[in-house]
Amino acid sequence: MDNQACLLCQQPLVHELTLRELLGWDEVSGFEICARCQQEFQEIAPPHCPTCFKTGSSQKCWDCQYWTQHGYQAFQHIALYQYNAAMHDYFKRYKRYGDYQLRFVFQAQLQRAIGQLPGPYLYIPSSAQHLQLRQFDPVVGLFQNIAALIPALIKLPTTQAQAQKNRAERLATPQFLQFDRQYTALLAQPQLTILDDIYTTGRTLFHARDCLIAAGFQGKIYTFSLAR
Amino acid sequence: MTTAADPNPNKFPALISGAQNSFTCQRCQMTNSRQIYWLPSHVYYCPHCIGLGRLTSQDWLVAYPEVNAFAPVAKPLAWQGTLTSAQRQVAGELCQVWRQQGEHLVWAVTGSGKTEMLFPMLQQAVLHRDRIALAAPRIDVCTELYPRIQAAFPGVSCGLLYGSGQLKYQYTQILVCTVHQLLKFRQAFDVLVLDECDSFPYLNNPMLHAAVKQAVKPHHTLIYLSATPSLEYQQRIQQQQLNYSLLNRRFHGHDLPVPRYQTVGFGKTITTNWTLQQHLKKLVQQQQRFLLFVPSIASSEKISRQLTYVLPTLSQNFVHAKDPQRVAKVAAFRRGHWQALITTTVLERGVSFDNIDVIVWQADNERFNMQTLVQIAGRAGRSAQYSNNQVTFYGHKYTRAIQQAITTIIELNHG
Repeated sequence: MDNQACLLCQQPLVHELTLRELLGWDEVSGFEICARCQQEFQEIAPPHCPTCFKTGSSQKCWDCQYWTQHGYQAFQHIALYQYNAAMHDYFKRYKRYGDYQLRFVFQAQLQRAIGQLPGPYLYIPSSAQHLQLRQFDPVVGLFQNIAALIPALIKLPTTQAQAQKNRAERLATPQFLQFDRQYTALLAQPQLTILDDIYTTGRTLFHARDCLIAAGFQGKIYTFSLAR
Repeated sequence: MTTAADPNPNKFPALISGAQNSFTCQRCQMTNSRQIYWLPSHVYYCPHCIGLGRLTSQDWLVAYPEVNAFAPVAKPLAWQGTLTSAQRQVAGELCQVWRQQGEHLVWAVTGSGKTEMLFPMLQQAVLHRDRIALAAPRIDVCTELYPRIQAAFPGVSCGLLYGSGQLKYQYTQILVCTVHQLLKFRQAFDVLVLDECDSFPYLNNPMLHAAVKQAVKPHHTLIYLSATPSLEYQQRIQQQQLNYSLLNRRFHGHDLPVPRYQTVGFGKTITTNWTLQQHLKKLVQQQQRFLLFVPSIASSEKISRQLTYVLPTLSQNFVHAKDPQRVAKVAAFRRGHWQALITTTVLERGVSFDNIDVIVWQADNERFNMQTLVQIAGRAGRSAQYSNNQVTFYGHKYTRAIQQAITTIIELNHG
């Protein structure tokens, strides 16, 4: 897409090549936002939790300990960015205000990250209610140009969105996903990846995992989110 | 905002299609491409004023004619203070502008008492049953202005409106609001005062300029306030399209504190720069409260965290534009919480604290332009009792912006 201005601050985009890019060691690829906005986002770097990428410590985090205690053994979540003030603001504009164009902000970074993960790719869909309000699915928006998304998970109606709950309420939320039986061919795959936008407690992605296993899936499940 | 089904005769479509796949938003007057700003549901939307609620090609807007239905007040102004002779001069000029319904710039240095100079003109306008808006580009300026206006005009209905505000909109004679909120009004105001008219995000922003133009009535009084007028106003003054009043003395008559520049060696950070650390230790010892300005949101959080290790005896916190507790933190600092606030340029202007020293870290960063540095320096020495606060710019290199900021302040002091 031909884009002259930063998607977030509308300032003209002038990319300053780094020395590595100049020498051809790093690929110069899609930048939709300016360096100033980019630097407000914190890419997740070690030390982080080995199983969910929460930053701060290389020990298993509280959330992952909780999931281990609840019988989950081999799970692997990968996330790209910390959920900091800038990321909060991004999701406010993309999801709450409904600025669909902002789906492009992290395209290049998501493309690199998804390239490392095995298909087929499932995703956590919006509820019908949210879809009607926003008139787009934010998770589909983020990943549709990068991976062939399979709509094998169905979101059942819930009384309240996960984003409006506190930690305890989130964790206590009963299963709200359902496996769509027309995709049973998926169940024979040796591995797959489930994509989402934000990982907070892990509740949603563990529900997705449960629902695949209940349907008979026996392979390895990777999960991925833009933010943790 | 409404729908096609609404029978209201005052409704009009929110987005109007133009040539070459473009459309123009009727709320913010920005033109966009239908090929870029579409939704999978086959409608298009305006991205510019989306913070006020997304407008799509299915939406309609409603505007009601302004009727100035305000109860008369015998003596609206309760303010008991007196203006200095310089302030009185400007106040008189503003009353004159109001009588003739024109546009006018007040160029008044930081801490010169701009708000008080408006009072005589505002009183005239209130008596005339004018509808008045006091707008500023930033929330902090509005939340500071609102209680002062309320206190000065206790019998007059007065509202406050900003993006994340808690107050529900009510029809009032005086409205204090951010410039963005003006997008919600059509030919509504007889008098509009635009405070900090040279600052982000109003500066060079066509949408916010359109917001001001369409919020005022065809016959109106428009007053711009600035301590550091941008090129836009300087050119209009030179071309004699805009008159202005100059006030280069603070209300207490003392000089503006002149910033001191301190070179920082390359590669030195806040944890390794010895001069800065000695400076901060001295401030802790003297219990001198201060603002530490840094160039980015990320660095405000990082430096605040680093200072808890390097200087644990200093009680401090950070604040920036994306901080959800921003309003509460600024209020707490004003009440005397924390010795220091680590801040981005969000607090560069419009906010007053008594007896505050000012430090700018990485003053050579491109985020700190000349106007910003003059404004930041203007946070110091605002009260008569403590007019002598210290201002220090720390930087790797002595930039043109730093040099110009310092000379401007010296010139204003001698002017």
